[in-house]
Amino acid sequence: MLNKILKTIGLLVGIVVFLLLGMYLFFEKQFDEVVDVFTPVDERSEIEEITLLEPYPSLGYDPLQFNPFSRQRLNQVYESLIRPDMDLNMESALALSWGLINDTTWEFNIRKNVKFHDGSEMDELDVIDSIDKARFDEKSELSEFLSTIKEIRRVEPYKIEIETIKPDPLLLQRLSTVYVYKMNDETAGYVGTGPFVWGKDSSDKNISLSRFDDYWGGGSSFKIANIRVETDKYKRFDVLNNGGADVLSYVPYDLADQIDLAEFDLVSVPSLEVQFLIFNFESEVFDDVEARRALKSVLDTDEFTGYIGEYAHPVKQFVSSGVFGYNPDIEDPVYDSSLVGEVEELNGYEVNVILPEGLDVLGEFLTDSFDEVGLGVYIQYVKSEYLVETLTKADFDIAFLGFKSELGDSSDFLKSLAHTSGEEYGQFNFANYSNEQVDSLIGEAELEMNVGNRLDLLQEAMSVLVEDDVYGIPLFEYDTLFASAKWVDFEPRIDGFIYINEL
Amino acid sequence: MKLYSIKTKMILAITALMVSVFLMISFLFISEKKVELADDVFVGVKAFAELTAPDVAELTDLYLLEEGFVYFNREIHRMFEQNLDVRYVSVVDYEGNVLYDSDFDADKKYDGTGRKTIFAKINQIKSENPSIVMSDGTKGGVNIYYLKNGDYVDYEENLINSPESGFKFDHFVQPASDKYSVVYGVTYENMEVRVSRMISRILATAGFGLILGILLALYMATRVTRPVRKLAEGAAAISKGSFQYQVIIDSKDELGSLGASFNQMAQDLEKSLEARVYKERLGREVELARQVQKEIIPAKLPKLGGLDVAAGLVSATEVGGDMYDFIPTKDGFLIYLGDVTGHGIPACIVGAIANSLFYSYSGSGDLKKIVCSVNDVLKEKTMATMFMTLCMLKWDSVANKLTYVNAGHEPVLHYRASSGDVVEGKKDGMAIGMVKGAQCPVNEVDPGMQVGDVLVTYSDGLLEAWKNEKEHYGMERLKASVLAASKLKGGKASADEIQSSILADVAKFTGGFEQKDDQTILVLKRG
Repeated sequence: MLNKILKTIGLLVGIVVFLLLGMYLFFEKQFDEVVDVFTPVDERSEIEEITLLEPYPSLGYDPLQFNPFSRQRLNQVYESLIRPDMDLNMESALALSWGLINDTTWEFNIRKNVKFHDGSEMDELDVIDSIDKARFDEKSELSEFLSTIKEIRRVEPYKIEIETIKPDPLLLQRLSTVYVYKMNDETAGYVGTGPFVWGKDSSDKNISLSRFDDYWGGGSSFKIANIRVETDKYKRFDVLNNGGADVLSYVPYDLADQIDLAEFDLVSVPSLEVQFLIFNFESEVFDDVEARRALKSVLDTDEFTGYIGEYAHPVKQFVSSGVFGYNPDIEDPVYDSSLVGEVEELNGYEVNVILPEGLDVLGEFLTDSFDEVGLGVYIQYVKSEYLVETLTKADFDIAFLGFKSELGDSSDFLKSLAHTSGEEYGQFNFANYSNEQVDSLIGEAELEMNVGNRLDLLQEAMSVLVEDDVYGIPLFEYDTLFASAKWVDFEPRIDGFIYINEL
Repeated sequence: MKLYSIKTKMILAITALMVSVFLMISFLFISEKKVELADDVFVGVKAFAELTAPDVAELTDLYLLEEGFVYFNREIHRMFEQNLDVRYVSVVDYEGNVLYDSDFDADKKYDGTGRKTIFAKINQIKSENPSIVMSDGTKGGVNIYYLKNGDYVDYEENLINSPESGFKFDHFVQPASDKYSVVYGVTYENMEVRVSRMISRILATAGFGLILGILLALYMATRVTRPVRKLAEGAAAISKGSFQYQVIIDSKDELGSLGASFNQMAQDLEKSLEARVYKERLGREVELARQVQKEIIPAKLPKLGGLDVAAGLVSATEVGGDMYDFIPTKDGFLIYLGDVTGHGIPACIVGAIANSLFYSYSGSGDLKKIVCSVNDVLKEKTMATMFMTLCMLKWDSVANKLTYVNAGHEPVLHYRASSGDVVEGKKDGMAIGMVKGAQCPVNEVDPGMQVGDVLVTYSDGLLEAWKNEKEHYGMERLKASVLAASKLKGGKASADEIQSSILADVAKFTGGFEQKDDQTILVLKRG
């Protein structure tokens, strides 16, 4: 009897295995579905929460802001038509496809079945409205980016056309900065389409994001994402080591070797950001190029970069190497402290310097360097959130700035900081710089479709800024260090942003 | 399931065959597929290199050397996503300096001391022809093949033997421009994944086939062994004597036929057994009958003064009812030759009864009286179908006279020495035991035997001795034989010689053909 039972069981098992094998061989898709039923792997349920630790607070949560600190948060909640991938290739996001109808007209097909966080469906009108806000809203920091857009038209449901004033090879990059959003009447707040929504327990020091389960792109692995802020680098480091964070942006260089590599991975990526000092061209003294050249020759930036550490590198122009438009032919700066003596106006002059809070090392360096050549120095340390406002007052001789070429192209810097201020350009031209030749080169480069020719134009403009006009004093470029917990699959992006959805 | 059962053997045999054949085919297929896939990788990388190397050179000039690494990196990554078999790329100038190395220059342009290419020889970099680098199997050794117009050549463009089909190579060097060459490093990971997947599927198919084979063999074996088991059960039942046991095999194939044959065999066996039992019984009966017959027939013939007698009885296979005896009387002997109907024991028993009755009634000396008395008793005491033909003779040794009665028996044959002929007596009378009472039509006959005459009485077995299915001995031959035998030795042959001669003639005639009835003969010669 037992034998019979065992035989029957054996036969049944054999038949089941036979059927499963047959299914695997001839109906693989159905087989996978069956396997999934019995071995469900809900990756989401395995990981609940992740915490990012940032050194700088957001400067606001308005989708029309363009500073990187705000964008690091906004990128999780809002999306644009196109977005850059890890290598800054433009890939489709809310736009399904696009193409040029003629030199100045682009057609965009809008993705369907995309929901806003309030459950409403996104359509082409929401896109047009968002872009127009970015163009025309007085709070918008993107208006200059979008100044080449002449008109946006609705063609049919989920299809729009964007006409530019002139051929614009960088339109896609520009549109990648524009979030699509709308106002939620109930909450009187903005809603986006991104993989996360603002959590209820958010504060300036800790943004809490909740996963948006109706996200068109499939949803994040994490249910909750936190973005913590700790401006003090030592505290930041402690938080990481104590398990208070899973990913740390901008690991302090002097603490990098204390990272426990058994627990964390340390990775670096060029930041594409250059730190530099700008001259105020409306200054009494430094409107003269010789004065500027003399002051520049006082500062041994190689020496200063050495103070910062191995992750900072001296730079001789206003965009970092790797950025399109970087001019490798610009010569190394010449350090000659005697030049100061040749400029009468600099004799005994007290240089008015504006530095962001925390750059004490730079302040000391400047003080020491100027002191060596008999220059006085008055340094104002300004909180980051007030820096722009202070610079706009133009009450300085030199000021510290940093510019990140997010799109990997020097035209961003040139148009924003070096072009004569106007409607379309010079939004951040705190130096009050104006040069017709540079303006012309920038304008020509905007219209130039040939890559080689465009490169020549940008490089020439940079050469004028660095060598001819001495727009400022390039200090250093640096690598951004990230520390991530071993379990996090993190690869840093060239633009320095972290998209939690990509983790 | 026993290891030595048909089922197991069939299952093992079928599955072993299926698996062996399948594995052989799979091995061949995998080997060929590997070669094919490796060749595909080569063709793919070659085409990819030819298409992309000029672009890479252009990107190098436009971006890399102009410090536009971000754009260069982006374009390179975009390009190399198109071919997953290329895992590495480097850009090398004409002097062999590495300008870009995808393994090391991940995020920014290399900024250090000069690097020389290690994956390609300087000749390859400077050649106008693309080339491949493959390991030659020795430590650090490489083989380099240049490609020109589809042929394999050396650096100086002399034709060389091509590598074996399915070869794997490590790097492909493609001249991109007058300034640069591009070195592509190849990975076979994707190919190995495909092969692994193929092997997995083949193993799954083998497993599928194995189980299928087992199930099929199980089914087929069961279809065979179940009927065989039934047959075995049937054989066991039959061996125990249950001949009515029927094996039910519901199939139209040979096994069904075997089942039907088995059932038929059982029936035939039963009949055969019955026949054998009957035959044995018959044999015993025959033996018994022979014994009885032997007891009745005198072992030694008596001396009948004045009459030379000889008797012979050749029994058939199944003993018939022939018998003879010599019963002494006060004046001589009663001699009879009888033939009871039928064969075997019943006939012998009737014969024995008749013999006893003859003895009982012999005292009267009256042939007719004796015969009729015996007739009455036999009629009363035996079956209606049993009767006896009889020729009873009385030899009066005082009067030297021989008379006889014939009760339905074959006519006597009388050789008359005086005339030298054979006279056939009358076949009259009625067999005894047939009719009772007054109806006993037997008459005593005096043949008038003289000295030298021979009287022969015999059973019908002589006349009905068959030579074949059509021809029997018959009366004429018998008469001729009697005549010839009587004249033997100039008429001086003894009764015994005459009897032997006649029986010999009969035997010669039949030539060994089956004897269906006893052949009995009595020869009496007046001396």
